[in-house]
Amino acid sequence: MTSLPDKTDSKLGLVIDLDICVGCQACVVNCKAWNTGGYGSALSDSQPYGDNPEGAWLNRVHGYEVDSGSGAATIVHFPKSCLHCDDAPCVTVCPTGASIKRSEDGIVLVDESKCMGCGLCAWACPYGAREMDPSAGVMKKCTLCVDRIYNENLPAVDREPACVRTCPTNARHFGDLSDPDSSVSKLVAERDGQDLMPEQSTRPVNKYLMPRERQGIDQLAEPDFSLAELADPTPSGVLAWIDRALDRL
Amino acid sequence: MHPALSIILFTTLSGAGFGLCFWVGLLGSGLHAYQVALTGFASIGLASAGLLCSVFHLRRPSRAWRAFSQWRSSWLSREALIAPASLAMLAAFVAATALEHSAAATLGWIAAPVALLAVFATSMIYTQLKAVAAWHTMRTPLLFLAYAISSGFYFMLAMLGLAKLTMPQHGGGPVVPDGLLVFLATTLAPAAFLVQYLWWRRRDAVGFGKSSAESATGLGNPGSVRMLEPPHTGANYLTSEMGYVVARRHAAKLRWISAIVGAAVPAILCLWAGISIAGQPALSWLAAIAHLLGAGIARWLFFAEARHTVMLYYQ
Ligand code: SF4
Ligand code: SF4
Ligand code: SF4
Repeated sequence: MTSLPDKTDSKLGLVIDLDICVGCQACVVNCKAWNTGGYGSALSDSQPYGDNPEGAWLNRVHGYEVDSGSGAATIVHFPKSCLHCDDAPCVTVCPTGASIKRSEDGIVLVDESKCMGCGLCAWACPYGAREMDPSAGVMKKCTLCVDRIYNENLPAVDREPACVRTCPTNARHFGDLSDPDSSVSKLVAERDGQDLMPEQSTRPVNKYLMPRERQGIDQLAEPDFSLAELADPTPSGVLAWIDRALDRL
Repeated sequence: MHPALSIILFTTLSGAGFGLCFWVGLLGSGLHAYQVALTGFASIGLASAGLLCSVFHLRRPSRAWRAFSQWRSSWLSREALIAPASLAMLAAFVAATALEHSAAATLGWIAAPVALLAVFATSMIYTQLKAVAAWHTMRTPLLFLAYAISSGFYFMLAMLGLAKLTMPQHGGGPVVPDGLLVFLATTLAPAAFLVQYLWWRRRDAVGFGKSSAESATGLGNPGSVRMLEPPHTGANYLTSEMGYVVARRHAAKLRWISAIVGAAVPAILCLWAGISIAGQPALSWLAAIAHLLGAGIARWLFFAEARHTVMLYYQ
């Protein structure tokens, strides 16, 4: 059922501390490692050793420069995975019933045996938290490690998401955000945890803790190149021909 | 957004097909059964071809039948139900006309609005996506409906021309007064592109809507945000689906090309042919194809120029 539950019994999710994350990518790798052998089909790559290696990942870490206008810019490492939104637009658009939000714990999941690979849910997610598996042709997303957190075959200490378990700096926290007394809820209250893109009205469960103010960093020089220019690709083949033809027009 | 050929063909062809369904249902009761059959089958064929193209977009087409199940929440599912229902109604109308059944006219009048409903459902698949601010407006359904009505009309003229060519004895004139027919033929294509112009104007102003790199990262309070290192070294599903850029370089030229081919050419052709347009198969086919081509280019831009909030994470 792709209608959203009115209310979920609990709200399991992550709290990500941008003040602590050092961008080591350990959570990215452990997420891939766990999920390629866990729930659903393997999390595949296309041409992993070829010219254009590409693949599906459920968690990615971006790097940003934040300029406050005074003092040196701050570098922020920014892990991003599904936020398990309460008003998840990715779920309601799904035509097949493959995308669901569970009423018991609020986890947003894809039932891979129902997914027809239309990709509409990935378009509906404002955060880019869903990626199509290149070989299985079904939609992949963070499962909140649903096959770990309730898994009695694992030692109790491992019954948390792979990314949380592996983080060497404890920048990722897991818990029930509907319970005001949980450690994650206290952390959110203490550090004023933020929603990403609140204006999209998705009501994310996951919260982000912002970097604390830095002290004693000197002014640095401005960089003299633009990443945006490097990111603008030039077309090739037939597209290149059309490109040139239109240029000449 | 990635302008996938399957989706462009799906939306333009099915739009034209349902547009033709609309006109056949609306005006069919005044036509000869042979004309109704010819235009009716053309509309069903055109719409089915479009719907078939959409299947090529699926990675797991064998599961497409599941798309009939989630009509409670999903516009794509609603579209999957309304589209075949609309075609079935039109087929019933064609059959009833052939059998000279008394309910034929009523069936036609029911089939006409249902065909437009199918186009509306298609447009809502895109309109509902808040993450793509350019699409998230009621101008989008208006745009899809305008193209469906106009391209359906030109295909009706073209098919009536064909009917006259193949069976001149049944080529009874169109059911609307000649003057109105010429008026519609010369204004519908420009009207569709007027809606397109209004849509483009909003698209150019709206950007990412209320979202920004600052709101996407939550880092707006410390200051302005700039990407330093992307999370992956090559392309990935997100950047190739949502980050299409080659198009935008030529967007302005392509808009002009689409408007000239899609609006000016059909209008001039129809004006030139005057009241005899319905009896001139060659000219009316040329007008229909030009309009569809222009609409197709504009539809390509609809996708290629739309920006998705996920790209805010890559700025
Ligand atoms: S983050 Fe995206 S994929 Fe996850 S629940 Fe929210 S909208 Fe859906
Ligand atoms: S890709 Fe799969 S999960 Fe996503 S909307 Fe389509 S059918 Fe549903
Ligand atoms: S909770 Fe599990 S699936 Fe989700 S990002 Fe962490 S490791 Fe990956």
